Amino acid sequence: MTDSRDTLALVLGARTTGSALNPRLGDHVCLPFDTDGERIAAVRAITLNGLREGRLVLLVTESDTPQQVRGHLAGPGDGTGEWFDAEAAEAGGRLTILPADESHFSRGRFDPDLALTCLAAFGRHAERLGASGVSVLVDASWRLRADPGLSLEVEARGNALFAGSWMALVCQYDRRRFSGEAFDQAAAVHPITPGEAELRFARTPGGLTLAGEVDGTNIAALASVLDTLVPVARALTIDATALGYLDAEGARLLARTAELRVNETVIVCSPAVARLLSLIRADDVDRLSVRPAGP
Amino acid sequence: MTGDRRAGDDTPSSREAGEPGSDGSRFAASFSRGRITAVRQAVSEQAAFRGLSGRALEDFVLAVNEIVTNAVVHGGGSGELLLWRQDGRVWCEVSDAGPGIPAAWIDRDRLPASFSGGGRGIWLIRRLCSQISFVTGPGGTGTIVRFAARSP
Repeated sequence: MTDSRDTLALVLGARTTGSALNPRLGDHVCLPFDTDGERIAAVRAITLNGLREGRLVLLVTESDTPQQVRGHLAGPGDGTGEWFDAEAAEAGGRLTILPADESHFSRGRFDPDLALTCLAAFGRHAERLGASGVSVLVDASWRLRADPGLSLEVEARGNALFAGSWMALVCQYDRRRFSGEAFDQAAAVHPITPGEAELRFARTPGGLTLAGEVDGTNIAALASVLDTLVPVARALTIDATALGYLDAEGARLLARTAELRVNETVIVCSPAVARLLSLIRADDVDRLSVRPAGP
Repeated sequence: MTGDRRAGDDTPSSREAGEPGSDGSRFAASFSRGRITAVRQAVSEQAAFRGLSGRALEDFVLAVNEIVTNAVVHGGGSGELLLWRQDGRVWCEVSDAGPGIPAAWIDRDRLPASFSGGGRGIWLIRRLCSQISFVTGPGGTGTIVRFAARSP
């Protein structure tokens, strides 16, 4: 990608809430890049957008040192004409830059629990400071130093713990360093990857809401979220009214969740999704009620 | 059901109904896992352009998505898709280079009792489209699945 295209991506992507460069709270995005220019442009855009939204921003670095990232961030601020000074933002507590060595590894060994604890602690910190939420950008190249299966599991657990809440989490994947298959697997665990089906979800007091689309490009993300419903020992409603597309595997996962649960599960959904559930015989599950959302 | 399988009969000269390219323009696309969404969206537009609408379109898109996903997950990770209109029907053909679909999946008329077991895609597409055929690719590798949209 050329520099001018990087700039264009900044200008166009930056302002659209819900884009990969300006993620909504609750989004968990897999953001691939092919060049370092593209990677750095995204670091800048996501940092500036997050701060502008009144969030705290956490950057987890791997390919660059924190000092190099400060250098990338220095420059004209977001349309204000002011010079953005990363160190000032850090001193003010609005920006934190942490090498993956400190957030994802203990004494050089990958520590799955540390990574998730670190994110949770950052969220509590933001809440105390009265921030509107947190934007976290992780250079996913740390996974190249960790066990592929274990590190992918951390991405999936991130869905269950954080997505749909106070955190926008973007994982930058280097297409040059991850094989096509490894990247596809990673993308499928992320509810959102640009150019692929986008799933948004939130845990609610009554259960879960699902919105967007589910297909083979984000199916593992749906699985990780539904898994959290299985042990909940009360009746739950999955409001899938805003789910525009669901594939057969997604329908099977919904039915399986209801089948594994002890209490009743209600799925409220479009007539098309209700029909799909009926075609795969989800109505055979005793503790599942499917209710087409009425107009 | 084995009656609609046309074992080995896939010669280019065949004038059988639903032969790709013998009438009008074809839509062709290559796909891999990351392209499932984009291919589905393109197929939805292309099928609508060729006259499908309403539930017939919805079912056709679901069927194509399942066959494409099956090729990605079980058929070697990628494949080719063709879509065309002939004899008043919209047809789709999906080919992959994988090990082939087990006959038990193609022919089964009952689903497993538990939803913990996988694989409802093939079962589903048999109920969403018509004229479906599963053909082993040239040289015994890969699978070619061809089907037509249901009449509205």
